[in-house]
Amino acid sequence: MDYKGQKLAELLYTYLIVIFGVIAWIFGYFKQSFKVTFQGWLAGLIFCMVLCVPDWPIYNRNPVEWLTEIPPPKPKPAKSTGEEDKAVEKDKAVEKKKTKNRKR
Amino acid sequence: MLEIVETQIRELKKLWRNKRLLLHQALNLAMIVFSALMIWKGLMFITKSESPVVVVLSGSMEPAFQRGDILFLNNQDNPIRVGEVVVFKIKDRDIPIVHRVMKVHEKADGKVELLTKGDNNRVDDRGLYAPGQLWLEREDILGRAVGTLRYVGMVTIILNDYPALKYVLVSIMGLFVLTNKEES
Amino acid sequence: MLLSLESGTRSMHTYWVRLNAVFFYGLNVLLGLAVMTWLSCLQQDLGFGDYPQPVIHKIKMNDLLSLRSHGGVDRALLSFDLAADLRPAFHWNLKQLFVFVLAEYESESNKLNQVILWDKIVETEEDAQMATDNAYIKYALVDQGNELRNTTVNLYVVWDHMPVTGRLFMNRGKGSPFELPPSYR
Repeated sequence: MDYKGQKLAELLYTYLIVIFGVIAWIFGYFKQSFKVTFQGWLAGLIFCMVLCVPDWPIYNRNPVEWLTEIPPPKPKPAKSTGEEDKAVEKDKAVEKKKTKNRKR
Repeated sequence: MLEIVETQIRELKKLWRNKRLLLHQALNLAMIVFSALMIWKGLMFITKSESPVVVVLSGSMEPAFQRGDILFLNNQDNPIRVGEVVVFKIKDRDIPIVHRVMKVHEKADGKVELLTKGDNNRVDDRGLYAPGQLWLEREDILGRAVGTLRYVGMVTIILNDYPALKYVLVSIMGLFVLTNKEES
Repeated sequence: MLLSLESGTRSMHTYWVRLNAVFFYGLNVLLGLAVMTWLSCLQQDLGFGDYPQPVIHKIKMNDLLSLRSHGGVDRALLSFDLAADLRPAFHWNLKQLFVFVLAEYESESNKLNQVILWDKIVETEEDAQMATDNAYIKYALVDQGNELRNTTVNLYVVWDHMPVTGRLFMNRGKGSPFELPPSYR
């Protein structure tokens, strides 16, 4: 499960259990039976366990991009190609993104 | 499953190498344990009861209390009256019993003698008391039930029925707390 | 608040941790629902507003069948009349009413004696309306000593509210006194 997936799962169960519970409570109120409320809550809980506990593919849509291996420093050639510089810059960008993700 | 265990072992080994982190996690665990203990002791102080929260383990008070219901007890000094549900403990027995007071005889000096019975039982509790004991006294009472909560105690019932599960669960939880990594 | 055995971190890195989080969060929600249920019935329990209240129409000693001494301990057997309507006490947060007939008296050695003579578990609103004449007691009126003769005994109907969630409390109707005879019979 990636970081965004974790956030999604957490959000899902936080809201779903409450929504299930409140609907069950309203049903129970009109039926005047707390058992109805309990059963509705239990259904919500089991549903959330199935939905949020296993590592479903939906939670892995934003895999963490790790840094590519940095090549050992070579003796500097007289002339560098522009492409290499760009690659290094891209690596830096990825690293920034990663730290951002970690700082949740 | 095996994979989880392997990860845990690896984490533990890493932890052992990093003493500072080990100390931090141990303190973390201690804080959880002690805050739970503090809440418990605080409740004990307020309610003056040895066990302020109990879970009903038997069906002798059905349908009032089912197995798994949570009871909140109060043991403050006001006198026990008939009809109240009390939790009492017989000397030399481990498990406290939750039953209803059927008879109260109170002397002028406040000394009280009680007889209890489970709503679902046919006879009173004299058979449950210590041999030769006819009455309960105030000291036998751990508290009277003042509040109740249904369903939430189910976990306790499951743990009580399968004691092995308790140790497994507690050790797993402890392990996770120890190897938990802080993300900041 | 129920504590889950999870440290302060928000990490959800394994199945166990997620299962634990979902379960304990769910328990907290259940607790919230139960408290809401309790609150929704509070007004009725406290008798605010124009909710009808339970009434005891009649509680009366009908016939004294015997008053004897059994090994130095006095025991009286009797029958009573009871008419009550406890339906207004019912709502969805009430599991049952525990209704009992209580004999209360003062004797020489005891400042207060309370003995339950008859009880009934009322689980449904339909059963909460009761009317019986000349009902025989379930538990004998037994004294601790031999001080039942010449005693004034008060009979009460008491009903104990046993809620799904919340406070346990009792109510009692008006007492009806009767005199026990001065000799055994």
